[in-house]
Amino acid sequence: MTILLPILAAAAVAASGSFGCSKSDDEAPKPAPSASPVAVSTQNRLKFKGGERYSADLAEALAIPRGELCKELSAYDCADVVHKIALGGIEPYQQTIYRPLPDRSVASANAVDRIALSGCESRAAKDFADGAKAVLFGELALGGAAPGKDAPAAVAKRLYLRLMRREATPEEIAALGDLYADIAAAAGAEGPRRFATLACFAVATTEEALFY
Amino acid sequence: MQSIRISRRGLLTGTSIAFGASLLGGTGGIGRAEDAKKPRFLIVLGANGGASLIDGPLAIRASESTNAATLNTYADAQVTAPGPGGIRAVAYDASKIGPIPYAIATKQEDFVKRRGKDMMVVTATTTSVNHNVAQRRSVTGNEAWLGRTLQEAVAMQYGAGMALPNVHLVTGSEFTSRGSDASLPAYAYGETVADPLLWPLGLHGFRGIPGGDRPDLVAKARAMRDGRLSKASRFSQTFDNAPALKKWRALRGSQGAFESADLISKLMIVADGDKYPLSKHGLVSSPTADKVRSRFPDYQKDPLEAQAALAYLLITQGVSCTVTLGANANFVYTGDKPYGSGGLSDGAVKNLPIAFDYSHTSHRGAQAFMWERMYRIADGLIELLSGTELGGGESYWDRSMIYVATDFGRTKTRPANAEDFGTGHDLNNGAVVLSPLAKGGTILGGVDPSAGLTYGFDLASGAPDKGRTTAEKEVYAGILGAMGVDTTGSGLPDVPAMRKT
Repeated sequence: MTILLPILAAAAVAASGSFGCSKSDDEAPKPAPSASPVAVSTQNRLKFKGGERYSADLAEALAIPRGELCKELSAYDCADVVHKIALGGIEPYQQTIYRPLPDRSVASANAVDRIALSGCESRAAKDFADGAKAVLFGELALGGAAPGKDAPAAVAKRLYLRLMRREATPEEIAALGDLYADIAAAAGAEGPRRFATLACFAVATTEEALFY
Repeated sequence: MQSIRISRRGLLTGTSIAFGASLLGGTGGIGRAEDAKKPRFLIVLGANGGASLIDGPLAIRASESTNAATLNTYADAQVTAPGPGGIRAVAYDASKIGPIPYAIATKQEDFVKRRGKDMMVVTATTTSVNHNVAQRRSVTGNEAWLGRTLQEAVAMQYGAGMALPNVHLVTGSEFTSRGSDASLPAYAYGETVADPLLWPLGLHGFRGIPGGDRPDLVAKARAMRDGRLSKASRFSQTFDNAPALKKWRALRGSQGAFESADLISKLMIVADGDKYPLSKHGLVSSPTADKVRSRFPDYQKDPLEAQAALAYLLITQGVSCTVTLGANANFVYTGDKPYGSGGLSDGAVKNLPIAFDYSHTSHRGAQAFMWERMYRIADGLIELLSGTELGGGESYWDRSMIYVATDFGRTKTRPANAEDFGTGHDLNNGAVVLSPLAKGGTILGGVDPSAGLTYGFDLASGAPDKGRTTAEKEVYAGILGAMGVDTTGSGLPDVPAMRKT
């Protein structure tokens, strides 16, 4: 599955300019996606992914077993137990909640952040423990050596491919580059490690990652 | 007692924690300035399944009834009137509750004696014997005021500056039904808490999570996400006007306020230990958690005790002005012996299956067990709130009300002289209100000992009136009146008989 991801992402990118309509190779070159006008939806039919779907997607993107993604107090699964109802789940047996709550609450926003931060930190820990087997952060996990200047961009591109199944736009790559500089200035030698977790967190909690 | 206080001025200038309508798109509350400074607190205690008043404060002695053998009356020795105003108490012992091998020895007398001065019994005849419909009507007065619930009305009045004015701690109940008045500000509607023990973790976005030990860096990542990444996304641009995204952005905008208020600590009931290793994760219990846990020591086993513990913290930490708790329908017991191997130990059963509605199987045992349960929870809350100063010489209890809401009553008859029998649903009943704000030590209305049916009272004077019954709307109006809610323009009746004079 891991091998297939870039292929799927590439397919998604090919389709992204036309929201699913394929384009032939001989069409006129199109501008960079971020510069093209965006057709604003008039239907606005958006759904929140919910805890179960979001966690499954995130675990797969981060190549972390679903059960290890996030555990509150190292014991209670975030999406399946602690934040299940806040994230739109149901629990008919003990709590007699048969339908998702009609509205999200502030606990929903916090729960998403907690799940993403936990998962990203876990991925970063694994990658930095053994850079040779890194899944996401190989350019940063160099055993203490300073990352190259292109490392943040490489990580940004990989984050979007894995988390969003599409390529990052120039703006997104630039934004994460700025985040890298900002964190490096604040965290010193810990900068690359901190950036790995928090860049992942930032992308994994964008609106695009949470709604469909 | 340190509380969270968020001023109107602070909200407007952005210098204070900003909660409620100001962040969630609401339009502001109706509360007057003096009300906002001195809130009142409504605790709805849901007596799920039909708490029968004639098995509690309006119990009938056999000697008083011409139909004692076939009416649900008690032996004279079982019924006392220890409280002011003639409020009664039942003593009931049994070796089992229907088929449940659990011995009980309940005695309501102590509670009535201790809390009777703040106890008001209001008779009523309701309009539905369907659990869901009746529970909803018990909090909306049968849609008396545009369908808004008591909790929503109180949240409107007093909750504009609070983090979560209206919190629903019991699930699977229509006592927490959302009202049908869609015009209220968002903060007035209830926030559901599925698990009182772990829910506070959801009030912070990163504390206690690996990687969350540098708030400054998390803030940078969030700012980048919200300020640049989401805005650069074609997805977000496409759905920029989607209501779902607008709501989500508003929720995100309130995260910082919840985190700054440190509600993850202030509302944390559990103690640090093996089951809840808080300190290992950089977390702590509420500063008052020791006191709460000692008053509700079964909080890890009994969901209602956990609800009550969190209810107290929500109120006294200035987070909420109304909380709803109650027994749900699950059979809760500690399982200290295999079922069927003999009697369960004292204290093993925490909640009966289908709560008060277990009266279908064993009326007296269910009513005795569940009334004691309601009284015990109310007693704990009163004790805690009485011992916590709100300010100006007043305790929290001085400005609180516990409304023991119930679906309906139970049928009044029994097979001749039966001690263990089942009952059905009956519209005729009433409710118990505990509050220094209400006319305590009072029975409003009365009960006909020959039929077991309650009758009403004059709404102004409170004088018993055998010719009328009290409607749901009148009980609803009386509660809001005692709570000091501004009901101008609602069309609700004035019920001074329910207010403390």
